[in-house]
Amino acid sequence: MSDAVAIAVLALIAGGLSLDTTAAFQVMVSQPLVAGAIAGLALGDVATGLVVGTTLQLVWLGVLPVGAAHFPDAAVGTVVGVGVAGLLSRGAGGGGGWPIAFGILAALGVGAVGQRVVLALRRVNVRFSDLARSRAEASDASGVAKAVVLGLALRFFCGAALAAAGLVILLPILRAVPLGGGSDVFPTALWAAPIAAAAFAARPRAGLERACLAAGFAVGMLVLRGW
Amino acid sequence: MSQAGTERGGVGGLRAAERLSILMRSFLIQSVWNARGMQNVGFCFAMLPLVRRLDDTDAVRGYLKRHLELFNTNPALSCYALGAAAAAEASGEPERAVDAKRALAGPLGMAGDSLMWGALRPLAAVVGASLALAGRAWAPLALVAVYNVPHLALRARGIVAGAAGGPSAAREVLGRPFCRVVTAVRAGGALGAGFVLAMAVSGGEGVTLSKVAVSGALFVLVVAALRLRIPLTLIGAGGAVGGVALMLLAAS
Repeated sequence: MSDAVAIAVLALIAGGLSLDTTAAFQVMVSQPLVAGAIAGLALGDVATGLVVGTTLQLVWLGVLPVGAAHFPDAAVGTVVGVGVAGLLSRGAGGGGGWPIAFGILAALGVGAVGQRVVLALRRVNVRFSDLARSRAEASDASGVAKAVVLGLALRFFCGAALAAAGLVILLPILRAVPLGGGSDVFPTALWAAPIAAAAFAARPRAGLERACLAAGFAVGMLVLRGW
Repeated sequence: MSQAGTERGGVGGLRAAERLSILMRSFLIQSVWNARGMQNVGFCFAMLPLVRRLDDTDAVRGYLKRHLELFNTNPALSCYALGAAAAAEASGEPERAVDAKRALAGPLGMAGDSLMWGALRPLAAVVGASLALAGRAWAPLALVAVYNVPHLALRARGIVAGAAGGPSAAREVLGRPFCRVVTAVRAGGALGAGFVLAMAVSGGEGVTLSKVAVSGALFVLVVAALRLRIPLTLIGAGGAVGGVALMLLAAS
């Protein structure tokens, strides 16, 4: 699969998954772990998709896409991250830490840009809502359905366009970075897991959760170290 | 609503096909989320199956305008409000439909956000992440299953209970037993997060002093950063940049 085809496929996946974040379904296929696996599958590199997705899942564990909250666009960010990691690792002659590190950084950056896009979309949606209201004044129920289709189409388009733009811009830049000898030491989970655990511990009124966190850590160490 | 709205049949006067249509449409309740009306368009879209019962344009206009009013709640529990409002419309009591929406939006939003976003999603995420770290390729499916079994059940239950019992049916997700469930799920998520942390510390080359020190220091730093309201994305980027720096050190 050429880069151009891969970017087109990933853009379509990003558009589809971005709908799940808030606009439609919300069955969690937009979560980084799932989105990463889907993007990895499309690239023929599920392992990279799972590594990038798991890391981002842990980093964004405490992000809540609730009501009017501002939140990073995790689905689009993850698809771009997996795209960057997967396509860079082809050029570098095999996986390793660098492409994954760059993929995660790209995902975090694109996720932050996606947050702005979502805010802009919500302002545009006011117009679709006005369209439905004006049609309602004329007793025309089709205006409501039309507003829904427009809202979904715009969300899909913005997710796909952001992913395509992210990959088109970032890939040449990151490919130009001179990398030293192959390094596989990028300690992904080593830093992502403390972030996830801290997201639980830092919650307000989380006394019981802090105790459970400590218990989970203790039990985990005992089990994983073979008692 | 005109008398055409008072057809009999099914739960709360709603036929099975209508309940199913409202349920399916509820998945799009946030499709046009906007700052002015929030979920108003999505709510009205979900209520459209009952428009077919209306027989004059004034009734259609009134119906659409009622359900294009501001509305916002948790999408997973929105079905309780949809069911209650639809049953009220079906029985020819539009005022009761509006009252049900207004009465339920806030409480369902708080309860739903607390359960779905604050408890169930983190639990599903740590289950998925721990399986992925253990090398299970089906970890994403586990995440989707852990979240969606209760999610889909609550949506389906919400339509039926809301239609049958009206606003009072939502008590089953607003009472003390429900709060206990939320607390238990949150505790399960925290337990899982602790386990994931242990996996990170003990994985790979085993427990080393440097890994324990780095993990412990990161944990304390991130807790402090979160208390200072620094966004998780920024913290994550800091972690990734730190990882790149470690790689540079190792490569040199």
